[in-house]
Amino acid sequence: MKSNHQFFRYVTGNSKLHLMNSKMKIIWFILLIINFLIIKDIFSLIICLLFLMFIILQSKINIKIYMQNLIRIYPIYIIVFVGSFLINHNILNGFFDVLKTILIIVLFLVLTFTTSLSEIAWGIECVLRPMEKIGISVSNFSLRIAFSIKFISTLFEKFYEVRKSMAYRGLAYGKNKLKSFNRMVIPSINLSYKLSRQTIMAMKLRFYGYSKKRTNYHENKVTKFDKTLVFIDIVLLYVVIWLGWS
Amino acid sequence: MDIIEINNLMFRYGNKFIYDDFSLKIKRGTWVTIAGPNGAGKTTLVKVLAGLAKNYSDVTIMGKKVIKKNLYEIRKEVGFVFDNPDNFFACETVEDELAFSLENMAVQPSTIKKKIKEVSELLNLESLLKENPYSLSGGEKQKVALGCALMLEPRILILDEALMMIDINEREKLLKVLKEYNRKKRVTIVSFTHNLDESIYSDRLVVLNNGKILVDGSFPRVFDEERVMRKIGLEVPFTVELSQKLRVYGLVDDICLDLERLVNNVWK
Repeated sequence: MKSNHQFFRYVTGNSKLHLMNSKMKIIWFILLIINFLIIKDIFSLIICLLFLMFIILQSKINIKIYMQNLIRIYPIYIIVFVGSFLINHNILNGFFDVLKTILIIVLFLVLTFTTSLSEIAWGIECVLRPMEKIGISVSNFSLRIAFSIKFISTLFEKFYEVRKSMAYRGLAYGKNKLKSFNRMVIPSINLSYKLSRQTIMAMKLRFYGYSKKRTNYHENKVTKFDKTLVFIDIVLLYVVIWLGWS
Repeated sequence: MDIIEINNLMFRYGNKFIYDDFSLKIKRGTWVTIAGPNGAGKTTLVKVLAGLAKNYSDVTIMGKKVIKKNLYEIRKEVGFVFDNPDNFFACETVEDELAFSLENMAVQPSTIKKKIKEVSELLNLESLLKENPYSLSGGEKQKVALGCALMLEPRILILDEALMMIDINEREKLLKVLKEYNRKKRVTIVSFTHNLDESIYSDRLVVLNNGKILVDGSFPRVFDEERVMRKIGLEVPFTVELSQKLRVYGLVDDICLDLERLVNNVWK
């Protein structure tokens, strides 16, 4: 297994999470995100954290990969902490919000590590299908979301490519991070722009948006495991509301 | 019958003309190699054929003009394989990648499954189906990209330096598979390359430089213009070079592209 696995990239596997039905997985994911967003007390946070740890174990993906990705985006935690402190004037609240952010990011990692993009797109499409009645092209919308996720991971990769090539040319990232970061921004933006143009070109040739409806040729069946996870989500939602909001 | 017709192509990047009054016709069922050094205008021509580059010309594919309203109809019949497959990939497993275009076209899952089996057997991709396409070697990536194009059962296959990253042995095998595909299914193949070794199974070779056709002919006669090719930096295949030298000594009568046949001719 690759030790420096990139952000939001699918990890091939055969775990129960990998084999979940796409629609059930998206429902489970949305419910859990709502759970994490409305957490108000430390007990709910601990319960959700334990549940997420169970999920990480179920994914059968090396925990190091999760840790590496979490550490890589440490500036986000600083921003959340500072933002929370400025709003609430309370250090404990700052830490609490950082922990909530970590839970959400880990959940995103679990989803993208165990679900291929086409399955994410299909899951979103199934969940949002009722919106077709009001004339929204759900197929296109769900694919766009999936590609945005892919683009985030590609952006990270490109940034590291630029960083490496700069290092080969003598610009050490470690010495003056802010100065070298500045020098990397323009090439990274250029590369991303080029990449987005190439992606658009490829998608045109691959019939993206050609039909109002897409098909999915290998949809996994709904299992007891899927239903149990969604059920646990609902129970958690009740617990979080009961502990924090009543 | 001409399946591709380009008349009076004019194309420029800024003030620099890449093509000025360029015309080319390609017959149905043939394999045409379009060769040229870097900057000869090969990729631009691919983009023109794919309808991805605005140009002033009359380009017709299968009797349909390459204009916005015909693009989807044309692209359904034309498979494109590009030099950098990474930019082409959209999914996280090879299997999903192969299925992607057909899923977008709302093809039934059972049909997609059948086609994946056919294509993966043809290109020897069975063991890679569950792999992430980004983690494959360059050659494997190009095979996957080729597989994606073949999934559409195209009537025209356009390869833009598509075999560049594949090692010699694997390339030879793949060229034979493509030749068989071209012969059995009467698929027109237009292959753009700077490596003339890839042209040995073609029916016709067109050599481009600065947007102009320098050499255009069928095999093996086209290699009589070998000097022109060398002048613009193209290396002729080893078998051609060898048979030309042997011809000087009267050991063979004609240029031979196939090494085995060449050895047999000398042995006689």
